[in-house]
Amino acid sequence: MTRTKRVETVTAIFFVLPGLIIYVGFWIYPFMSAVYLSFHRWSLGLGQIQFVGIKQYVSLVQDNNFWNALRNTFFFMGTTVPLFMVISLFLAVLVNRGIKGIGIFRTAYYIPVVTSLVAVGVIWSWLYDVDYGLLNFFLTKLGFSPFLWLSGINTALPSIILVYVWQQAGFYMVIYLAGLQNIPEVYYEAAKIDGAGWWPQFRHITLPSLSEVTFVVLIVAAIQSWRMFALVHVMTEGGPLGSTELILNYLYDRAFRAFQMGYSSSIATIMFVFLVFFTLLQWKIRKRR
Amino acid sequence: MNDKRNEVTRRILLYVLLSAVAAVMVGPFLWSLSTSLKLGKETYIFPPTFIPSTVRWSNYLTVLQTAHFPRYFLNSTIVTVARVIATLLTASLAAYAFARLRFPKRDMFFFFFLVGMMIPPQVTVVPKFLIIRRFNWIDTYWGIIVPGLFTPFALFVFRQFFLAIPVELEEAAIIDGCNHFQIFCKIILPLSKPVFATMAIFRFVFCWNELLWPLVVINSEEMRVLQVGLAIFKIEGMFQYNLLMAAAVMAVIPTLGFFLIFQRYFVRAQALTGLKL
Repeated sequence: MTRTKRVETVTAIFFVLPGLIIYVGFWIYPFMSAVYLSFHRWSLGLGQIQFVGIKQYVSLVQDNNFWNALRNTFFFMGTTVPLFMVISLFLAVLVNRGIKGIGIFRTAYYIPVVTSLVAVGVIWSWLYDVDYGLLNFFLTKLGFSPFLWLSGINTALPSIILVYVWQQAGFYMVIYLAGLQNIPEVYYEAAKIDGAGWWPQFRHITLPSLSEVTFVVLIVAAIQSWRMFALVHVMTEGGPLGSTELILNYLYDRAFRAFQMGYSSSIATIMFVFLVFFTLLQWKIRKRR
Repeated sequence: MNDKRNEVTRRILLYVLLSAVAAVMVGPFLWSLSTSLKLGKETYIFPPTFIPSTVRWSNYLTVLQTAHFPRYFLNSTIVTVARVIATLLTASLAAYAFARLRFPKRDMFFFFFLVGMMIPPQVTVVPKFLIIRRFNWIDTYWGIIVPGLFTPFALFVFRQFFLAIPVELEEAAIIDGCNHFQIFCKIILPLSKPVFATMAIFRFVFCWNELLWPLVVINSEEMRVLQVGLAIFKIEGMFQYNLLMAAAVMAVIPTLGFFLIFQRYFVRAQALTGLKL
């Protein structure tokens, strides 16, 4: 190594070291530790850590609560992702114009995104209140009967989904908007000269040009949906009867209420495998197109 | 003549649609503000009133005086500001090394850092908890702050930005015999204000709004951060909804205010997230 390279390497060590220590200590090591723990049974404070190998995963597979949480999470992902793709695109198209004051509207649509899910959950819990909530007030005014919202077994999870989509729509709108603004105006002008109306323009210019962006939205939204914890924790705590318990809520319950460190690590590892699988699957699909 | 009328009608309809959507987006916040100013007995009536008949600003005082609400604010501020500043420092320094310094296996090393971005935080929650516990940092500021002193995403963003700065600007300094730290401080930093602002805001919003990790680390009431405190207020039914709304409004104001002032940086930060993939 030349002298300069040696100097640069030593300097680099100093520059990188702080970040490296935190990164290895709180990202890499915990990840490996999670996989390691997933093969052990360990009730914190109650006993010693024991190696049980695959047995823990077997218990997991036989755990109805686990399947319930997994089912709910898949449902959550399967509804929020398409909703974002449609609604956020609609919003982006709506605000993609230079009319006066459009900036104010864009800002307004982004406001829910910066507010915490805890506050959002609290506010919407009040909106969803069966007896005194604003939503049931509007419903009864329009002649419908009051809706159960968070209190009904079949309505609770959709209600939470609605809140989440409301909060995050602006986030994906910004991504779509960037994509829309990259489409050359000339395409639309050419189409107009050819006499194409807005729908053909949308179908044949806008949508194909957005395929990259749509893919990004799809992946980000799918991955993000697996991280949902706060809304459920605040609005329903997993109820009624576990109908809103998502995989992360279940993990939290096993780890920090039942203190089962090994078992919760198995859940975590499975989550990771699912996410990797999904991401790879989507990359593969995209490559084929 | 007809065309012009059509044009005006279309424009009006557009604004109506835009406003309707805006009402949906902003409405719940206005409603929570309205509820937060009501008396308890006016909160629980049907049909509800939109403008409180008596405006009770004292609801906010009540929330501030019960429980340790101001303390929650303080805790949130401490753990958030600490992590924001630390992340900016650790990530920008490391990014400089990856962008400007040559050392063996540099690119492989960088990839090593990127891999962490793919690990979902919840996978590491339990082991992180066990590590914090071993350091006796449960229920302390350290427990919340230390794992958040660095993120690979910040490293990625800073490096992208630094790579785009022309090397020529540093060459004069190198000839003058400046060491890399001086180059970093005197040349790179002043040129990096936009990326620092963007990352600061991004990190601030994330840390301020975070629930899971503080919830895991904290046990005692005085150490709660704002989000944890608010969540517990709601879950344990500590307050009637008018007071709960006042608490929610107070929890929202910091990030909301921040956003309204620094809007363009938010959009920029978020565009970077989209580019992350």
